Amino acid sequence: MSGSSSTSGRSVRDARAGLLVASVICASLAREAGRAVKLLHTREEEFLASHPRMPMRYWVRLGFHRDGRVAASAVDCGTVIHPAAAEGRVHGAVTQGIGLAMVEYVDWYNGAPTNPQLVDYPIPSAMMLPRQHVAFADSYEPSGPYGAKGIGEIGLDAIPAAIANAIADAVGVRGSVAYKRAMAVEFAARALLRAWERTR
Amino acid sequence: VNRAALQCGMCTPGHVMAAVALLERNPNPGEAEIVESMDSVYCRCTGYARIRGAYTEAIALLAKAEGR
Repeated sequence: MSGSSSTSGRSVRDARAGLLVASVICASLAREAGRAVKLLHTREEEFLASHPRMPMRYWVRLGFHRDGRVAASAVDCGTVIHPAAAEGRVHGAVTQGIGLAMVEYVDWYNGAPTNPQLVDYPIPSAMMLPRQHVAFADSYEPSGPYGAKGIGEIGLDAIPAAIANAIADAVGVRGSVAYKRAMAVEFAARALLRAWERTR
Repeated sequence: VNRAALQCGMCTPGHVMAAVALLERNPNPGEAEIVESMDSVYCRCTGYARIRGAYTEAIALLAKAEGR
């Protein structure tokens, strides 16, 4: 019991509020059980026990040039409180979407990432990106502050799907977007291989 | 900051240094030179569009300050 208490005290000094709650629970459990209690943090538990966001409905609409460059996105985020910052968020989200779909890939070997540096892990740079327009829907979210919804990375969501669809449309093979978003090269290579096998 | 060209601020010092270096070399750079200068620094948040806006504003301020 004394051990558990000191754990909880340490976590107060560490200002790790999430741990504090668990520590208090552990302390009570230890008192009830009359023996030491082990506190185990796993990623799974972390996701199960963390605070969920409110259910919210968003829509995003994208526009592309003929050659595949992103031209514009329209996002519904309720009342736009800071237009310049909100536009920046959407620009950034689109950039991240392009990155996830086209160039970024986390590679693992023996439980460690093999490309932990920006040298090995490319993200979109200024030259890769087209000029894009951003528009916001005229909407009001009753549950949000001043009618606003989170703008976060909403603009991101549709980009990998659009790129996956474009590739599927171009090569006639559909891959699993959920598992491999860094699919462009791999996916196209697979499709070409299959097409080549068909010709034999 | 005027142009909301930063979000997390991590890359901002790098972009400012790159911009100053460019503007010292060429106080009135073209679009291609601005993009090339921005290309030297990664940014995860902004998608570079608003940073380009900040470059444009910096160029205008510089021109005004030098009375051009």
